[in-house]
Amino acid sequence: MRGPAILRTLTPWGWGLVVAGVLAAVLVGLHGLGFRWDPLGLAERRLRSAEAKTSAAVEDAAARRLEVAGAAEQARRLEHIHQLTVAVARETARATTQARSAPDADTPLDPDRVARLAGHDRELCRLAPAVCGTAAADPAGDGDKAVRAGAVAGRADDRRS
Amino acid sequence: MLARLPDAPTIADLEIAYVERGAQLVACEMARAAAVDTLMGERALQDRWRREAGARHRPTVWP
Repeated sequence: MRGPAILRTLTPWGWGLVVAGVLAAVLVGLHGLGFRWDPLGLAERRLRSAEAKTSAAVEDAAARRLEVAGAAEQARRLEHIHQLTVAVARETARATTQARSAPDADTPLDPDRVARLAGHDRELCRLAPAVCGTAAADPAGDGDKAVRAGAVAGRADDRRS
Repeated sequence: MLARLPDAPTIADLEIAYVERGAQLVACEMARAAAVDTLMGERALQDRWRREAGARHRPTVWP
């Protein structure tokens, strides 16, 4: 039986199958040649979305790397400051102990000198209340009213513990 | 907080206050330097990030 004779004997269902087969073969062939039928551009959108996500991930990873580097540098800096602080506290404690054990340690200061020093401290505290641990004084008012007594000298160990 | 003399201070109190103020000065300077270093380090990291990000976004092939 020749080809045209076969076609003449096909029923409508057979024709449908033939057409479907031919279409499938054409689509497979075109796909193999690189043809993509994407009228809505979905593949392009997916590609752009994936590229955006990749770019964001790369940026995020770079930022995390820099953060880690910064944290390491900050830890090194803090460790150095901690060592210096310990050394300063140790030297201060040693000097304080020696001052207390000096032969003239209990000799009272001259009252005039004490008044001068206290006056100077009051002036410092008026100019910079935060240094003395006082509330911010009103510059236009009487600053002395806002001044409170600071820490008594000789308690360095207590405050640094 | 600024070390100050107690009421009826002695020679030892004066010496101790002197020593404590020196220690406070050093501590203040360390804190200041740490704050400045931290700020500068932070800005350097930001600059580096911007530089690297710019290099990443720059097209490799010009049309």
